[in-house]
Amino acid sequence: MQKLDDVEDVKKLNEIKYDFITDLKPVYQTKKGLSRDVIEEMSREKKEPDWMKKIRLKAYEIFLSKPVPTWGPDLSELNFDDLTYYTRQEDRKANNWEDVPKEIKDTFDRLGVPEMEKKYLAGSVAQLQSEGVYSRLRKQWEDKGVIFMDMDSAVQKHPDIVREHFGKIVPPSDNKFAALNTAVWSGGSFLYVPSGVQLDLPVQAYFRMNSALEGQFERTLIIAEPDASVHYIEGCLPAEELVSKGDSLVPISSVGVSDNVVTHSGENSRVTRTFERPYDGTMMTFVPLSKGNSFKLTVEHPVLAIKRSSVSTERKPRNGWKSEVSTQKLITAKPDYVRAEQLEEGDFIVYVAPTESKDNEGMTPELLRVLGLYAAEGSVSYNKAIKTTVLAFSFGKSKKEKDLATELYDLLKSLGEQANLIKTAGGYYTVSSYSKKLIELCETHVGKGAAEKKLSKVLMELPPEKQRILLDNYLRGDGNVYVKRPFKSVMVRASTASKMLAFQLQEIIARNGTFANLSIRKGGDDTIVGRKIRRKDQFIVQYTEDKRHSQVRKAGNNFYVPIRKIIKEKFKDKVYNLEVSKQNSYLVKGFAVHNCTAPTYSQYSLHAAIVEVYVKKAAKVRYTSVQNWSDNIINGPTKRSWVEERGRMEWVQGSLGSKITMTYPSSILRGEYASTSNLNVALGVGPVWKDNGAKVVHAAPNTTSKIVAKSISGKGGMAVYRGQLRINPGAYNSKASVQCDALILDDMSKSNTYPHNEILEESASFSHEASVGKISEEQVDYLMSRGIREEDARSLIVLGFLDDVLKEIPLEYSIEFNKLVRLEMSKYGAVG
Amino acid sequence: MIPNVLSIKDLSVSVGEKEILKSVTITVKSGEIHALMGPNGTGKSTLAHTVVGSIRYKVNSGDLFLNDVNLRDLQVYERARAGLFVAFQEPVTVQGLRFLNYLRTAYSSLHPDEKLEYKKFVEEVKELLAFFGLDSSFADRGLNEGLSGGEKKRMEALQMLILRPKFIILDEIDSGLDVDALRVVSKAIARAKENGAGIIIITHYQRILDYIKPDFVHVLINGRIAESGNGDLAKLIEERGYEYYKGGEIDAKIG
Repeated sequence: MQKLDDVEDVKKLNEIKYDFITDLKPVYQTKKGLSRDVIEEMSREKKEPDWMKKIRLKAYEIFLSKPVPTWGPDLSELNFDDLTYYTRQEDRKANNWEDVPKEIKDTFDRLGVPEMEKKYLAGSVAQLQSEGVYSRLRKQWEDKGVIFMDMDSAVQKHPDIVREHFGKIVPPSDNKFAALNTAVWSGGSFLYVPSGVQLDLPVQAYFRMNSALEGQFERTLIIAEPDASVHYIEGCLPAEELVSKGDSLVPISSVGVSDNVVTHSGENSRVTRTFERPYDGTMMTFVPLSKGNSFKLTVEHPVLAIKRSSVSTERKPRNGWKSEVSTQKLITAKPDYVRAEQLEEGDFIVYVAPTESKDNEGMTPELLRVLGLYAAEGSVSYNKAIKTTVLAFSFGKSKKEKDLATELYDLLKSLGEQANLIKTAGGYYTVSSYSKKLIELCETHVGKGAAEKKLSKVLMELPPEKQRILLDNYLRGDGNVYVKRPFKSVMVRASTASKMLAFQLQEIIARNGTFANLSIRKGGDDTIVGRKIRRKDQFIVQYTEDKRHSQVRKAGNNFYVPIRKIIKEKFKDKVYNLEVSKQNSYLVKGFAVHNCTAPTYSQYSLHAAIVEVYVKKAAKVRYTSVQNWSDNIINGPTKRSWVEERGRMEWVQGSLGSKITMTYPSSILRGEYASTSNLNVALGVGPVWKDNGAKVVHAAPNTTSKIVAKSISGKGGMAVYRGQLRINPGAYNSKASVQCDALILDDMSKSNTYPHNEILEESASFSHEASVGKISEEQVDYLMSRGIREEDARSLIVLGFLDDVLKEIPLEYSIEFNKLVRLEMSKYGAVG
Repeated sequence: MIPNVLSIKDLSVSVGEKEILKSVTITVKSGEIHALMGPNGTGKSTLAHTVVGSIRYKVNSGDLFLNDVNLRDLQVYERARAGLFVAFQEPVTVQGLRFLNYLRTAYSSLHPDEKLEYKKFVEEVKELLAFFGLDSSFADRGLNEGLSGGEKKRMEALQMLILRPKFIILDEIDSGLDVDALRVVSKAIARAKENGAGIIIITHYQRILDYIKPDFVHVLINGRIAESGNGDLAKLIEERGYEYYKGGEIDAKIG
């Protein structure tokens, strides 16, 4: 056991946290991992009665004996010894929001809890980490004997009721997670509704897990005595949580999961998640020596950099700017991540030349020469007079230009393509061709329209020496090369109207060992040969082959580029970030920045709750749970109810977040005319696995059950329906229906259904419907033809698909669903 | 006020490898009703889908302008925002997407500067449902969910009125409608015309034209406009049938 009042330890603990929690100090925490000692310690700390301690220890033995389930998602990444099993936030529990410590109250304020309690609820319980921090029930219900409090308090205050009901519906022997929960449970809520009492407002429990690497094992026990009725809502976190764990900048908004990006090492790595969040604060613009590469970052974003102060020398500044640096020190220095706000003008940031290449045999030197010239001088247009598409290269009047045109003309002919060489009325030389093959080649690999030109993936992946051919030919067209005195260094300068092409040329030049400066000449009105024209922005790529006097230094495939200027401004809009596998970094305008999450991100927290619900004779319980756990959480609760004669149990589940979810709320219909329904929605978008379903056992005559499960999978997500339905012999005239519908958003994603039905009673009736669908392009087209944007059209279709379940979910949560679906669909940009 | 002009000029369109429309020219001004007639499979619906901007229809050449806006540069939703509306021959069904919710989204997209008063909007929709002889519960149903062919067509006509487009193309709005429905849809078209919309009625039959008289009639045969004329041409077609156009193509006459 450790008391954690040491400031440093607390800081360490808080390093792994979500952005809106600040300085929550646990007053007590067990050490990592699980043992008999930890459990005894925990029970002692909670001042529990002996019987509870015995239940825990027995469950621990069962936990050790049970294997990790292997039938569902892969749980091998879960390490039980890495988890902290018990963290207490506060010494006493409040029953008035005013008494809740400010930091904790702020957390729940942001979730809107006190507000909702005032408006819609009969009572609420709030839990942070392992224990309840607040509970309250309106007096009118308290007077009628309703009990609603956190589970730990219930053990102290109502030991008899708890002891009678605890662990009966879900015994620790049920499964490994159930055993674990019983051994280390903490928090959760206890709800007791006496006979005949019907709560007309729902009661709600809120759970929030703060730190990574923590287990949350709450225990919920609901007892509805005969003729009682209650709606219990379990809620976890709004959508903000999913997308707020990072920071970054606007241009990355279009990057999607499983796109490849280049990392700080120059290698490719896969994007495993994208993030978007509103940002209201200071935005920093970094203007490196190469002005065209300016980029924006939020103040806390880590940037790969070398501080000038760590590599400077005693020498006097030569150009009156910053202190001189030692080249030796600089090229041997190891760049490190520095928060954007800690960077100063003169510090070096790291431009990375991508290292991976993939040769393409079909891209011969001849074709690269053509493409290089096309990038500089080429265009494709439709000639109305001859009703043909024409590829044309426009050259100037000079002898040099004429030679180049002739060379190209000969080259095209030697490739076996049709070609024309024309001297136009004004004396300019033009080479043209009607060859469909050439036109397609140029359009595919370089694009068309001066401002839109862009080199294809194939070209950008070629080995540097082949790219050099393309570059050299491009420069023959659009560049000018001159020798600078007195050092006779060769300076090369090219300009293009395409911003993308400029960045690509810079990258190719870097891969060939030189850092090129990128600058922009703003467009505007201009005059050419007496004619007024409007000039587009020109992007200028410029480099000096002999780079002795440049302020940029090269180290391997990195170029250390000084920051010329830093501009800070107020910013209020969305910002974006990526999570990149393995390397945890990506490039912004060629410069390396850290990705969004701490390196510990790949470690998971476990949420394994147990919920036991007693629905006694003619009682009614609705249990709604909407979880939006962050995506480092493995969520595996066991939820089960016993439903007696004429009782009714309704499960409504919405599963938005978490890495892995395995939830199958069960109803055991034990009395005649008992009934249950189970509505289930799961959103599995991104690298997540949603394993949801239901279990119903008809153990008495005339019982009824209805299961409706809807799932959506996208961006590589997996959505599974796993159901078990059993109608026992003797459960005469029982009725059961199962409907499971899946919507799959793209080809990367999957959906499976595993319905297990055992109908052992002949007089029972059973129906099963299942559908798997995709969004039809006709639907999207139709909605777009009414002025609705594509992403909104897709959202509407998805929300429509979910509608019959969403309308059963409390409004504030269905709004949350709505927002999240829209957010996910907004990442599906182009036609899917 | 300067009238709005929808100008389809020398439009050639193919689907897959096959050229369907060949150099079709139709100019529609606000308040005009044009009928585009022709036998099945002659490219009438292709014209509707091309104007909408469906990517399956490839424009080989020609222009498509709404006033001075080149629709060819615009995506499907942008064309709608420019003022174009097509009532489809086979409207899609979107399960669970409640009609009112859908219609409100569409309206706000098309008229972003207007503040939509939801209550008034709902009343208007309900009134129109009654006008078209449709059950008021359709407002809360999933889009076209469980509707008959004729009901779907009336829902299209309803959208045409509520969304207030500048130009309307009705793709076989008359098919699957009984006489009463035909009458009410015709009334709706007349109302749209009064509101200043330019309208193209695509139809196989003369029937709907008994209820709503077109200002111009164009006959589409094998992807080409075989003849154009005033409203009387429809009657002539009724008499002599499309057979008349077989064999040779007639130069377009201006009516």
